[in-house]
Order: sequence, then C-alpha cells, then structure tokens
Amino acid sequence: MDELRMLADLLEENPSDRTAAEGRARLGQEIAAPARPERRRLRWPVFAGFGLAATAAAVTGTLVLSSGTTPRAPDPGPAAAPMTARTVLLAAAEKAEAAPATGRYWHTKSVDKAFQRVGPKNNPYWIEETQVSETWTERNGQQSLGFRSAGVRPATPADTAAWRRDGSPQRWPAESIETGWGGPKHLTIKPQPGLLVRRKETPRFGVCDKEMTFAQVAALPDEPTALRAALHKAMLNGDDGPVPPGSQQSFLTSCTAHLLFQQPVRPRTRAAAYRLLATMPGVKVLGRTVDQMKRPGIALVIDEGRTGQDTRFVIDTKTSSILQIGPASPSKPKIELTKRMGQVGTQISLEVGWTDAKPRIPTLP
Amino acid sequence: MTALSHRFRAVSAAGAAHTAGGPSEDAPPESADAALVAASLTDPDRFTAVYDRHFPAVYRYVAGRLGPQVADDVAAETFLVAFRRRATFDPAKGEVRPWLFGIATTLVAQHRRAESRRYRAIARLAVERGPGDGADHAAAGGLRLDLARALTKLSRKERDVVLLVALADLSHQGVADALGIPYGTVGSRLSTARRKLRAALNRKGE
Repeated sequence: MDELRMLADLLEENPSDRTAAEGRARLGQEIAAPARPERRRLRWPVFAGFGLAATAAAVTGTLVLSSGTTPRAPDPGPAAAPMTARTVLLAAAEKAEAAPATGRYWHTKSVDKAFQRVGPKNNPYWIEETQVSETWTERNGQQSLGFRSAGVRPATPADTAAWRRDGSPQRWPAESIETGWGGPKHLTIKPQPGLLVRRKETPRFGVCDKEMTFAQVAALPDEPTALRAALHKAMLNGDDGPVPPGSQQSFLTSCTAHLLFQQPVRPRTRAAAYRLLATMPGVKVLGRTVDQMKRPGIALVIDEGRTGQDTRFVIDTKTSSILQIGPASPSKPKIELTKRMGQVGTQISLEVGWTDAKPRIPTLP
Repeated sequence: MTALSHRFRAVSAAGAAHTAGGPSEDAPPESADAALVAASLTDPDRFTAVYDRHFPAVYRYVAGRLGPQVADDVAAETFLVAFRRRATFDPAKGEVRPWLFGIATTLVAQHRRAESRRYRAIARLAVERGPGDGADHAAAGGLRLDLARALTKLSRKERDVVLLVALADLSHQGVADALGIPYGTVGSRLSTARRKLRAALNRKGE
C-alpha cells in the first residue's frame, strides 16, 4: 500500500462546524480591529504537567485552548480595608516562606470543567463535565495521577430545556480521538468511579512555557533577582518559540504568578516569587472576593494593557495558596462561547502541598 | 458543506465580517485566489472568502500533525497571520494555497511537543482502532502503529515535506513554494522520508 495514502488515512481529522465558525469569527474580529502589535501571552497552563488530565480533557472536547477563554467569577466587592497589591503579595510571601515542606508527595487536587456540544442537528446544546484531577509527585520525579468525573449536566438553563426536548439522555459518546489512554469512552450524567494510575513518563512542569523536570523546578533560585533571571532564561528558551520583545514583561509577570499555582517549588522560592511579583508593574489588587468554589480570598489582576488579556488570580491569605487563576475577561471572539459556558479557562486548586497521604482515587468535591 | 455555510452566515450576521455567497465547493481557479488576496488590500472583508475556500484543507493539515485540540487554535491563527501579512503575498512567488500552508507549517513548528504527543497518541490507538477483526485487525493495527512511530523518527524537515504532500496534497512545486526551498530539495527529502516510512512498514509487515 502507498505509504502516503496510509499517512493521510492515519492522520485524518476534519473540522467541526463549531471550529470553522470560531475561526471565521476570529478572522472577522481581526478584520474589524487590525494592526495590533505582535505579542504573545503565556499559554494558560491548563492541566500543566498533567498528561493524563490533558487527555482526559480531550475526551470531553474541552474548549480550553492556548488562547484561553474566560471567567466572570463573582465580582470582587470594594476593598474592606486599604490594601495594595504590594502589601498583599508581601504578606503572602511571609506565609509562603513558613509553609512546611515535609512529606513524601507533592500533592495537587484541581477541579476543571469540560464542555461538549451534543444533541441532534436541529436541537444542539452544551453539556459540561466536572472533572476532578489529582497528582502526587515524589522527589525522585515519579508521579501518580488520579482522575474522576463528577458527572455531566446541561451547561445552562437553555441547554437544560434542549436536553429535555432531546429525551433527557443519560450518556453521550466522548468526542475526541485522543481517548487512547483507556479513559472513559462516554460522558455520563452519573459521577464515575474514577481511576488512579502510575505515570510511566517523567512528569514535566511548565514554567514560562518551558517544560522542566521536578528537580529543575525544585532548584529554582530563592532570591527574587536570581529567580527573575531564571524565569527570563526559561522564557527565552520556551518550547513555543521566542516571545516578541514587546510582550516579554507582561509574559514574565504572568508566568511568575503561574509559578505560584501548584508548582512544586521550595517554600523559599515561592516567597521569592511573591516578592518578585510585588516589584512588577501592572499587578493590581481588586479586593476581597470569593472564588468559584465560594472560598474567601483576595483577588489580584495582572493588567496587560489594552491589547493583552489580563490574568486574574485569588490568593488564600491564610495559606498563601492560589485558589484560582485564569483570564480576567474573555477575548473578544470567545465572548459568545463565554456567555454560554461561564467559567472556561480558569484553573481551580482544591488542595496543594506536601503530604504523606498515599495516592488514592479522587473524592468528589 | 451546506451546514457549514449556514453556520458561517449565522456567525457573520452576528459578527463584523460579511461575505455574500459563503464557501463554495467548486472553487474557482487559483488566479481567483490571488485576486481575492489583492482585493482584500482595499476591502479587507474579502479575505473571509480566502478563509472559506481554504480553512477545511488547512485544518486537516494542522490537525493531522497536532491533533484536533491544538489545531482549532493553530488553523485559525494561520488565517490571522495570513491576513496581517497579505500585503507581502507575491503571486510571482507561488500560489495562495502554498503560501497558507507555509504559514501553517511555521506555526506547527512552534508546537513540536504537541506534534509528538499526537503521533504517540495515534500509535497507542492504532491497534485498538484498526479496521476489522481478528488477524487482519491486528495486522492493520500493527502497520498503523509502525507508521505512527516512524513519523516520530523523521526529521522535522522530512516531516514537513512528506506531510505537505500526504495531507495538504501539494505538488513538488507547491511544497517548494510553501517552505521556500529549491524544487530539487523537495524531491530528495520526500524520497528519503518515503524510504524510511516504507522500511518501518516492511520490518514487521512481512
């Protein structure tokens, strides 16, 4: 058989209507408002360093892509007491430095939503799956992964109505080809039993779009100036090619914030990252808020100017953990999708830190 | 394509862009493509017709290499980049299709990890999803597995050429224009790549 024909068969993928329409809408936006300077933002490290969940996300055809979408989480109320980004970040640095670093596993637990368009052609609707994922990484770099679906539901009241018209189905085939890891082939209304696997490949952690090993992340400097230099170097050697000079500063700010989210850095390095962030331009405090899981915290935003997409994150002031981080407002072409789907693009951390508790199948939140 | 055109119209009615007609199955000749790009310099909306005519093919190429998740973004980005650079399109240096695939190839190169993940995922799927049952099934799956693995062993330059031919259906001249390399180089890279792929298939296939 002709190997070129075989290749074409092997790799065949066709665009969905939705993909074609979204791309066309993006082009329409570009035509309507052209001539932005070239810039690049940090890839939202959705499921960063978490190969299994990345494929699990693919199973449900999540719309979270490199350009990110949205959250309009609860609007932060006015600040109760005068506070600045600097005071909030420096206070968090103190907490971070004092955090314990003993335990066998670096453990993270996150919740994500994935969306899929389902239903007959004349009555399509969105369903959302709530996914819980956990990682346990040992100091030698070995990693266990837990994954569990908390079930599927129609995304909005309008989708619920369409779902009822569709006869209230209880399961749908999962959409993507990338189900080869043996995960669920169907999305179901009922929560799934979940699974726990030992990862074969060495886990990688995305720092400024540069993949690092556990040891490399743990070796990041614990002094702000040196840490900045290390992050700058990572950025210049990133896996997605060079960052345009015009967007390097905002890129670096954004990746410093992401370093504070679930990355296995030492407590002193986390403290340095908070102190570094306190010196960076464009970081503003929004005030006290609750995150999407209704937990209290202080919201900050990294202002990337009129042409960028701002990053919003919520700090738990008791622990210095970042409860959630994501795009502050939807990019224009995605507003329609955003309206339908609410919270896509934001990463939510349920638990993070060192522990001796053994890996197990995730419990549902 | 009908459903697609319908959605396009729905989107363009809601958004800023608008074109009469929508995508067409019987695409006019290539010279019309170049004329569209030229016209879009004074009337930017005309560029949406370039999108309509070429998005499905560009998507198939990008998704073939990066998988559908990443391709949604990269295929759309290809047209944004093309739109921004439309003033630099020179019909003397080749047609619109190779120009677009050249841009797509540059963007694909920025996602090399996604690309190798894609081929690994395909290799894992190969046996499971091969057509048929029993011995035939296993044999077909084995071939697909070998092919997917062989892809990861090609150099990026070899992959660019072989996949522009296999997925994008470009001629040798088209590949040369897309990648900005001499015509003769296309032939030699393609034959090297095909030899490697055949060797991988024959090792277990016989």
